[in-house]
Amino acid sequence: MATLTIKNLKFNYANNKMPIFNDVNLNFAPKTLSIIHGPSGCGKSTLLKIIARLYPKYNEGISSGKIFLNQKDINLINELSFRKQIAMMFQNPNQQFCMQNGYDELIFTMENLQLPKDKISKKINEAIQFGNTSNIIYHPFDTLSGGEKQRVALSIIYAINPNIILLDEPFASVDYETRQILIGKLNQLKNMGKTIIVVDHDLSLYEKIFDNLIIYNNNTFKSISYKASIRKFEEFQISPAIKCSIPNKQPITLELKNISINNGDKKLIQNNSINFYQGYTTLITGKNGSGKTSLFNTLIKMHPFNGEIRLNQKNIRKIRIAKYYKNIGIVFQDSNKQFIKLTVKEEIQLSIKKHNYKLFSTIEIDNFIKNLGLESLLDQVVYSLSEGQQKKLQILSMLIMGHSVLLLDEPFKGVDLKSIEVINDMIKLAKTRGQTQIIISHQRYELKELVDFHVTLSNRKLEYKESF
Amino acid sequence: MDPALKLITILIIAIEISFTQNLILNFIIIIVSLLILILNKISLKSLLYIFLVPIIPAIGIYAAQLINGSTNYGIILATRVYAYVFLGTTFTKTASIKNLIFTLEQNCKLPAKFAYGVLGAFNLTETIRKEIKQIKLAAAMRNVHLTFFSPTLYFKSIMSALNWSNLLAEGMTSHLFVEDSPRTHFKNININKLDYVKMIIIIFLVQIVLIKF
Ligand SMILES: Nc1ncnc2c1ncn2[C@@H]1O[C@H](COP(=O)(O)OP(=O)(O)OP(=O)(O)O)[C@@H](O)[C@H]1O
Ligand SMILES: [Mg+2]
Repeated sequence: MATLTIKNLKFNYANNKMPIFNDVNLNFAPKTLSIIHGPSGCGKSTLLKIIARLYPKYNEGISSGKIFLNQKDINLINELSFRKQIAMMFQNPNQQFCMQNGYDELIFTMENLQLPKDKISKKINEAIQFGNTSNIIYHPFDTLSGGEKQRVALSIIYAINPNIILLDEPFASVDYETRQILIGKLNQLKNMGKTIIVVDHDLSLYEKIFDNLIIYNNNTFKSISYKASIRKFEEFQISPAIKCSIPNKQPITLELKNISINNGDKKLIQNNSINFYQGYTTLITGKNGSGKTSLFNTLIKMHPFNGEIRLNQKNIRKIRIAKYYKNIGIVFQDSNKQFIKLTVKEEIQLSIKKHNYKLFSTIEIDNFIKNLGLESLLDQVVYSLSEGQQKKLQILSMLIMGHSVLLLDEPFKGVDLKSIEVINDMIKLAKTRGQTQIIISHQRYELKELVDFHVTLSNRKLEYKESF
Repeated sequence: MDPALKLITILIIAIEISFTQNLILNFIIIIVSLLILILNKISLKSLLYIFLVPIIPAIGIYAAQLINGSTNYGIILATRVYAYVFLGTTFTKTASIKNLIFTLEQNCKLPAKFAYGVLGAFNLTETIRKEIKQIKLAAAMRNVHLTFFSPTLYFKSIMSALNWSNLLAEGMTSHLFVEDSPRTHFKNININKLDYVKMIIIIFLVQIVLIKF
């Protein structure tokens, strides 16, 4: 059991004059679960990394104030024994793995923990069971889906068995059912006496197990009252299924005929035909690892397939890549894979200069930049943006390109509600100007007005549904 | 054979052929490596690749010596290029990097920091390769067509490789890797005595070829 106390914490990034937060005073007791919630870029990940003693070591920032673990200044604790007591799961799982697959990563971690050889196997088995990762643990990381990687990362945290568990958006890419199961497991951990701190943009399903909701306000993080918390949770009630229609006779843009897709030896889609319609937004849902991203990769000719795909009646195998990409664009699930310039401003300007079709006026673009909160970040290096800020920049840059078909892979991942609204407005505006959109999303907030049709991917089949 | 011993053997041979001029030895090395590679079921594609890639430097070197009038020396240099490439390929195709790391750490008593640094370096090449592919794709989506010669491609991939190596250190720390603190080993790697014998025999044979021919 362990208590964590933060006193007058303040943090500045080296090149910024203003601290990103100050006067943070918080207390985390054993057997509690605290949630930290706030807009993208307010400093949540930074705060967790300071607690985990990763910053300022891996970042040129300056922090002042003190953090105590059981009344002892964390900087005075021997590093390894500190790390055995506090472990953190990163927001981006790709940044936390150094071996090739989950099994090797678990072994690596257990060796660092100095666990004797004969105990390691047992520990690993327990961890695999906890995260339900037995069927993916040997797969190389770069073949796993986003949600699968998060489950592996969580298994590793469980294996470390720390007293204090820090989780940064641990469920951003997992499907709703898995989220439910994993939140249940957090509750078990809490009842075992752990101190749990989670950062999450999505507050659904925490209502019954949380002890403490911490909100960012006025440059600091503060606990709010139980009553205020409950009000906040209400914003995240999952709305009952929303009705939508099944398309008929709309003009077809993308036509998939008897498509089969595999990933290694795993069959993802088998002999399936489906159409996507011109000027509409189609939502695709499906469990983690069902093959949604592989489907997108197929549509951009980056994944082998059997069958035929036609874009505006033309077989895509016969269209030259350069020409094809003028028509179809993709917003990658991993934001930082989208960037090819150094700063935010350069990234946006590149899109303005190279667009295929002018979807937005200059005034509209300036407004988007402002509403997304990117205005003050124009000169910042893209790598140093927070995950949510990267996501927003990425979507804006791709929308400006004005592709006639745009694929969006988890565009709302790690983005706060207010920004989701702004993103929705941009996507809707692009649609009214003729863009066809296909969206993969686990996140279901605010989708009501955006989505026209809903397709599920399950049992290796794509199918239109009447609700989502 | 133990990967570390194998690496040492190959390095010794490589050093020897760079200080001696022995055409027969070069050929023997190429043929033996080729046999080992074939026994290890190397794909035809990689085989073609290792034959074709060194061809430009090999011919270049040969041509340069031709101008100087020393054809023999030219042939030795050209075959030497091939010998290096084949030795290197034999190593990478027959040794697992993971086992190399383990033996370096456990048997050669290299600090874990260095051992995993080697691993990082090996993964880095793969990372950069993927990175270049990804950047080309991302650029194509923005109507920018990067060719093999575009500076942007290299600038950007080096940037992200640097960023990646920073993140790697942070990721390792988060999984409890602390410099200079002891670790346990799940898989113990012991060097077989026979491996030493093999190594000595191979090096001995190389000396014989050098002396006799
Ligand atoms: N190296 C850096 N230099 C300057 N500013 C930085 C640097 N790294 C991060 N920042 C800024 O610090 C702020 C906080 O970043 P952080 O990643 O902690 O946000 P966050 O609350 O976790 O956001 P998100 O919800 O999007 O994950 C952001 O505005 C970010 O742009
Ligand atoms: Mg964050």
